[in-house]
Amino acid sequence: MALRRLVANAALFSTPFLVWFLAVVVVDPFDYFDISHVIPEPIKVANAASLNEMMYNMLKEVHNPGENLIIGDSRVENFSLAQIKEITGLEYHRLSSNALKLNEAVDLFWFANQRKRIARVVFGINFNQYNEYAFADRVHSVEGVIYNPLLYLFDRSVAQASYYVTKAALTGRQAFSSTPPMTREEFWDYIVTVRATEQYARYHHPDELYRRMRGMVTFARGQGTEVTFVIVPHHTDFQRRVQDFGLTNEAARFRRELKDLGVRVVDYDYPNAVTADKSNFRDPLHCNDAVSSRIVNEVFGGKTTLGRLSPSSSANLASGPISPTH
Amino acid sequence: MRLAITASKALFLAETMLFNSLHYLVFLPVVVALYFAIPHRWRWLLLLIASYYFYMCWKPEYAILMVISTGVAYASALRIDHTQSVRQKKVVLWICLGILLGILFAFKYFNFVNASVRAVLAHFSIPLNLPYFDVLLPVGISFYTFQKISYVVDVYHGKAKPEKHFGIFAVYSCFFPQLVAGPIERIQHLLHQFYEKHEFQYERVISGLRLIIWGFFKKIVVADRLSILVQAVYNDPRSYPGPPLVVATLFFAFQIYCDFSGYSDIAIGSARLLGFDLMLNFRQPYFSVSIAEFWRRWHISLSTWFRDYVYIPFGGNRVGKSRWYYNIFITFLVSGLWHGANWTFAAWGALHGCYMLIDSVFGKYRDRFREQLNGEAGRAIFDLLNIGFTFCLVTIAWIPFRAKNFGDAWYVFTHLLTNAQSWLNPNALSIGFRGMGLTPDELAYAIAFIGVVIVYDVIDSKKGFWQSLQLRSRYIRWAVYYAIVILTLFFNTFNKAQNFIYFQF
Repeated sequence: MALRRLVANAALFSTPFLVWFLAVVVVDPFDYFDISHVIPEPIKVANAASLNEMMYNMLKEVHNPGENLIIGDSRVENFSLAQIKEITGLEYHRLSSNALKLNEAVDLFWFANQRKRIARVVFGINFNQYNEYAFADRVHSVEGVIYNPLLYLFDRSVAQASYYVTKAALTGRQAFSSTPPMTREEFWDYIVTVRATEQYARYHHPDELYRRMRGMVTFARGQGTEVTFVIVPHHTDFQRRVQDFGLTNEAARFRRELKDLGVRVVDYDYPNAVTADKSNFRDPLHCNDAVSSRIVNEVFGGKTTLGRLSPSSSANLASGPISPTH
Repeated sequence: MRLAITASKALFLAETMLFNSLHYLVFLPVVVALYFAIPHRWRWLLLLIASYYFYMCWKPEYAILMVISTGVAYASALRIDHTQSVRQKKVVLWICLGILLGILFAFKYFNFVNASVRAVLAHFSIPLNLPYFDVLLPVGISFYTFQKISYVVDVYHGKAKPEKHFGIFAVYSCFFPQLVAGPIERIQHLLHQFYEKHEFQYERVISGLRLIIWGFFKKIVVADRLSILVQAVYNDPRSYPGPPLVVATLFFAFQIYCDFSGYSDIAIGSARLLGFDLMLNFRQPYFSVSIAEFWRRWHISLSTWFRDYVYIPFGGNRVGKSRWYYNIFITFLVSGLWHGANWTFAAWGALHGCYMLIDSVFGKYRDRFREQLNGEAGRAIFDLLNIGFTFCLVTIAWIPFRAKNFGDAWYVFTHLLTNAQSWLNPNALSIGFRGMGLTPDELAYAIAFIGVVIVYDVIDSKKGFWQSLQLRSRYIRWAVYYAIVILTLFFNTFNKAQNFIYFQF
């Protein structure tokens, strides 16, 4: 009698959760189960991927691991994969996430290499990520989700994304937007003042991160992976903030330490006609499509005119393009 | 398919079975179902196998320590009971205590003592080449050792009869819900329950499940979330000014409370599913109006253990004043060292010892003053002030407990009030909290969840949270259950699953 009562109440209590399981499996905003395709992929990309790009891209990588990767934050999202393929003839995967921290970029390298040996990897980074305080741990969180379907079913971003993609599918309109409710000028000012303060007001050299970067590069070299770091451009308004916060020496150290890693580094973040021109940027941190296209041409095509190269003397790494064959 | 394989690996090949692991969520229902499915006479055997399995999931070879200490305690108690000579009883008792404490010393304190002696001798340029003992501390060794000591001492004093059934005694010694972090059960309270035939009771199971989900909420929603910021700050306190140090210290006070009381709730709830009653371990300790009261509400099973097996044997308060003060202080000092083989824990114990001494001297004036206050309102305000003051004292004492070393503890203590002006500047404050692993949203959730725990404790202290809920309609009860379960499922930090703090003790 007691057992029957318990089972009946447990069944009743868990009904909403079972409905929820079913709903998530059907909607599957991040293609975790990859069983149901009720929601069209473009809707998932437009909504779920904008909400939690890290989870979306990592799961994509689990289902379809790639050997050529671009790892970075929103600043590498304008690197056109089609253009890269046109130049190199190679299929590249973008393993990016908004506000990616450099420690997460290293985590992503290991995550991807576990699934398929990486042949070529291009990191899009900048000094504003090279700070001990610029730390996040989303890669391990998503890895936890990958190992445990229950965590996916009860992940808050999965719940939010399920809502947005369902709404978008029903209404035919994008349901989630990460665009801030500001004019371009307001947003520009916000980045240069508030965001720069957040990123530069507290600085500590990331010793542990650099040690991990060295370990990663050594490992990559050992297994024949070609590593390139692209220092993505900021508008000079944001570049000046490094000086304002007294971090000029630290920024120089960042470049020096990257160079010391002994891999190809292409630096676009220095004052020049391109970075001084506001029309080349969507905001102080993100260049427009034309500049991105030029960067892609240089990094993947090999002939650098805007980008500064280092190490300049290394025979096999110098100004050459990313190797088309491996 | 790839995901399914990795998921099943994570579930079933987990090395450690923590309460907050999926492994345990499968293990517990299986044990409960089997327990009520088999005849009463075999249940002890099921619990014994389940408990050893539970323990061996962590490190199988350490089960041998459990077997040795169980065998020693069992045989010693029987020997003490059989022999008529007081002298012989004493000899057996001391041999037994020597073995049990010897194992504890070897695994927990040897390296600490070795390092301390080396440091002292180094001052006099005397080299000491005693090697370090390179082993992992067996999980729960302090708990199960103390449980067995209390058993043997109680038999020695004639307060308990020795258990003749080795199997039952072995289950008592390693009962999985309370094996690795208590409550430290006395034989008089737990052992007879293994002989009782437990029936499957709906109300009992529901009350056990309630405690388990509430324990999970406290552990994986509150404690583990707070631990992210606490760990960031206390790993490198010198990088932070006052506000993060204050917040991290306050967070640690709630982290350790939610972590350990959450563990105790899951332990008590798990045992209740099987029909067992374990003793209450926490009774809203942060609502204490004095340090003495705090110790009557915090880790009750340990503080009563120290009272009965350290403080009272030393003479308790039936001695001269100076000896009484000595007894109080030494009890807390030992209690500090029980928590960990580090001088920071000793400092924590010593600090509480000092608090207790001050309370012993001046507490009566506080009580007299309270009696003279007119009206309930005045007394309530006075109590609130005392609660706040006691909480501050306890929180300050957590600093050496959490810090890695004395240098860090001193730094935190002396820098709590630095940069105080930034409390008034939200921008500076938000920048000050960057890089600590918690986003502003997460920080807000953490504070909100502390609020939830406080509200629960307020209701629980007045009329019992679950008892008062039981009087409400089914809709309200289920709404509360759903709220706790949904918060636990969607706001957990499960994928950053952390050990329970008290496992290390």
